[in-house]
Order: sequence, then structure tokens, then C-alpha cells
Amino acid sequence: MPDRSDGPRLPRGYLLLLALVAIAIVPFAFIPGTTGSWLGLPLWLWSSIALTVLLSVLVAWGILQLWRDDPRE
Amino acid sequence: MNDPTAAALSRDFLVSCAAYVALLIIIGLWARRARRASTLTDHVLAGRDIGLGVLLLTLFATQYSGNSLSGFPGQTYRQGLAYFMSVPFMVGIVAGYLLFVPRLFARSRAGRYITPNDFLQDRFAHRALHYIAAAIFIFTLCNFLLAQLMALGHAVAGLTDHRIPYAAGVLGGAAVILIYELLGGMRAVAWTDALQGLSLAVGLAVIVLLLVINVGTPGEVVSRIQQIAPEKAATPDLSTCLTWLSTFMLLSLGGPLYPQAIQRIYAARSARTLRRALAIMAFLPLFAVTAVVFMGAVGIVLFPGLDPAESDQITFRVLGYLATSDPRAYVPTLIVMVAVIAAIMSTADSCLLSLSSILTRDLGRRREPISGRELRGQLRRASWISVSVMVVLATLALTPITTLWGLLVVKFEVLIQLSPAFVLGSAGARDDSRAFSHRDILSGRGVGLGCSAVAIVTGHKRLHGFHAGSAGVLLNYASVLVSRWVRLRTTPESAVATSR
Repeated sequence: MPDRSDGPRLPRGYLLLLALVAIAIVPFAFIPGTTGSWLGLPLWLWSSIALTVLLSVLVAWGILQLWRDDPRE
Repeated sequence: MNDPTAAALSRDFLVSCAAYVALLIIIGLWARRARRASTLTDHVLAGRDIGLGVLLLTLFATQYSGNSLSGFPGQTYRQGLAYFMSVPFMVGIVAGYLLFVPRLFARSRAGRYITPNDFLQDRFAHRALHYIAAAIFIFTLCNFLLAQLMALGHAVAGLTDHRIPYAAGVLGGAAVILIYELLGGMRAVAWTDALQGLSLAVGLAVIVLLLVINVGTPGEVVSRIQQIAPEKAATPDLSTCLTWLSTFMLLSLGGPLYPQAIQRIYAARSARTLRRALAIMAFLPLFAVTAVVFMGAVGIVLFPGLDPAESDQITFRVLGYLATSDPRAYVPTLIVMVAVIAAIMSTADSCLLSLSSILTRDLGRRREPISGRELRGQLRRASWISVSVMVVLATLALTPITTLWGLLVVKFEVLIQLSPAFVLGSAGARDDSRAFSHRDILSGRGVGLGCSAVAIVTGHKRLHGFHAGSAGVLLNYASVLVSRWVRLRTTPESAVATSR
């Protein structure tokens, strides 16, 4: 059986960054109490929206830049 | 909704559904003509030749089930703005793919995989591990397919004001899905997914625009929610935040493990095609899920005070309101109503195709069919299994058991326990003793499944907001790592070096 152990893999630092952004999306920092609002939406929601956009950009960037073709493919 | 508009909408919805069903059968026949060989690979993976456009739309349709369209607005209605968290959940599923899909795709080409279990067989070659995984996949798919059939019955009944009863929606939908799936396999399924994805995207975009014009901007809607039900606009409490974190983990690790999603990975034309499709997928929740969450928020404003069962129908209530109050919304409303049915059907057909391939291939003999006769026999067996599964599950769906969300969570609690086998397993080769072995994976799976089962059976589905499955998978990963560490500590260095 051919050894396929070293297929494409992503740097651990990048995966850790994704995990940290994912945790930051959940509005722990805004507990407890009411927060201000901007354009009618509460600040905790703006924070989650902005970090979700960041997560999408990071995921797409990782897929396109860090996922290399397997040379044996 | 006033009666003339409701009656016209109901009638036109039925006509549109009939036209859509006819189109599905035509697509099934067309896909049958495009078939290249009478084999399970061609039937289930469309000859591993799905291009970017169709791959993107079929991945999109796989990720956004009927539950996303009818369940998410209902959840937003009940939980309020905090349900915006479903948007990052969906991005999290794409991030979850990154944990193993690059390596799995490379292996799938070399190993000619058809089912997710083919990877486990290739990597671990262990019977117990293989059959436990097959049982989990089958349980998950039956669970998911059953939920879709129930959703189909509810949606058809709700959209036609019960002119078509729940049972007729379930049985009629099941029959149509079965016909085009048997005719065209994955090609038919992927092409219908593409049709559904496109119509949904266009319909939702127009509906959101018209909701903003007719009801208000998101800021105005939130201001009105703060007056009507302030608790639904409040900052989530700690327990809710922990539940979100737990759900995020459940979906990121469990979502990419859906067998139908893995089979779409196998079916991609190339790694480049797959990368581009997944990169675009990372942005789709920002539009698609935000749109349905907004629809639920609008529902809080338009229809306050609904009970949980009524709130499950909030999508259709909001659409009905819009069609009545703005004539420009009539056609887009009709498109989204049909797209809801299409989304449910597309998820159900993907489950059915995946289920029949797993039952055919993973529970039978492992010897590969060689002759043309054997290959055709395997395909025929898969077709009969599809029919049998659909008959059993459609019969079960006629007696609704629990809520859709309840079914979804129970399914993830189990499916997620396969995560270490794919994430850690794909990182090593079978003959490398430093890589994770079948014993490591089995010990973790035992601990994870046991922990989840005990928690659920004893009524502790959540601990401080954390799901039993999330706690189970953390223990699962920990057990796998400890098992490997102990094994390497107790194995002589020379044995490790030799095996390398």
C-alpha cells in the first residue's frame, strides 16, 4: 500500500487562529448587561457580525493559499 | 392574509410545484442519458467529474436543508437576535472541512473511495471500527432523511393551508425523490441541487429587499423588537453563550462528516475545483443565513405571541404577509415557497443516495466487484435498497415523533464521535506505528459515545449549556491522544523505528 501520510496539511498556527476567532464571535465579552447600539443594532451583534466576516475571509484565504495540491495527484 | 390572495397563492403554489416536479423527472431522465457506466461509482459520484458551478451549488444545497429555511426563522422567532449565531455556525462547517478534507481528497483519488467508510477501511483495516462507523452513518442518514420527510409534509400542508394533507406531502414527495434519484443518481441530485440553489438565492435576495421596503431596515426591525419583546434583543446570558460555543463545535466537527457531503468531496473534478467551491462557500452564510434570520426577526414584529408550534411556520406567515401587502412580492414569494420544498427534497435525495450506497457497499462483502455483471448487480442492489429505505422511512414519517431541531441535535451528538477517525486518522498511514491506530480511535469512540449516551439517557442533555455530544467529543479526542501516548511509551523504540 502506498504511503499517503504526508498529504496536504495546514499550519497549526492558522487553525489556532480560526479557533480563537470562532470563540470571539460568541459575545462572552458583552455579558452581563445591556450594551449600546449603532444604526439600531446592538454592539454585541455588530461585534459578532464583524468577526463572522473575518472568519469567512480567513477560511477562504486558508483554502486558497494554504491548501496545496498533492504532487502525486 | 386576505382570502383572495391566499387562495391565488395556494393555487399558484400547487401549479408551480407540479411544474417543478415535472422538471425534476426531466432532469432525472436527462441525467440517465448522461450516464457513462452502469456502476455504483458513476451512480453515486457522477463519475468523479462535477465541475465548479454544480459542485458549489450542490454543496450549498447539502449544507442548507429544509431545516435551515423553515427551522432557522422559527428559532430566530423563539430565541431572538442571538440566533444570528447560526451564521458563523455555517462558516464553521466550511472551516471544519479544512481539518481533514485536503488529505481526504488526495487519498480518495488514490484509493478510489465511494463511501466515507472506504477511507476508514483503507486507513485502519479494522472490522469493528468499520462497522461502528457504518452504523453511525446509517443512523444519522435515517434520522436526517426522516426529518426531511416530516419537514416536507409540514411545508406542503402549511403552504396549501392544509388543502394537501401532511401525509400526502410526505408520500408524494418521497415518491418523486425516489423516481429521479433512481433515474439519474448523483448527476440528477446535483443538477436539481443547482436548480434549487439558484432559485433560492434569487428568491431570497428579492424577498429580503422587499421586507426592508415593506417592514423596515434591520435597525428599525430591532428597535421594534426591543419594544415588543425586549428579551429577544438582549445580550445573551452566559448559559446561552456556552450553548452557542458548544453548538459551534458540534457543527464545525460534525457538519463536514455528513456522508453526503463527503461524497460530494469525492465527486469533485479536481482539487482545484474543490478548493474554489469551498472558498466561495465560506461567504455564502453571510447572505443566505442572514436572510433567513432576518425573516425570523421580521416575524417577531409582524406576528408576536405565537406558540412554539406556530412559530415553526413563521417563514410561510412572513411570505404570505409580503405577498398580500406588496404585489411585487408575489412572484418572488412563489419562488421561495417552491425553493423551500426544493431544499427539503434536495437534502432528502442526497441522504437517500448516500444511505443506499453505504448499505450496499459497507454492510456487504468487501471484495470489489470486477466483472460488468457484478458491477450492474451492485447498482441494482443499491436501487432496491433505496426503494426499501424510502418505504420504511416514509411510513415512519406519517407519525411525527419530535421537533426538527431535537432530531438534528441528537444526530450530531452521535455523528460527531467519528471526528477523530477522520481528522487524526487522515494525518497518518496505516503502516506508521507513530500514527493513530485503530485501538486509539476505538478507545476514544467508546468513551465519546458512552459519555454522550449516559448524559442523554440520564436526562443531562446539557451541562451548563454545553451539549452532551460536545463534552463527549472532547473526551473522545483526549482518549485517542492518551491511548496513542501510552502505546508509544510502552512500545520499544526499535519496534517503532522498524515499522517506520
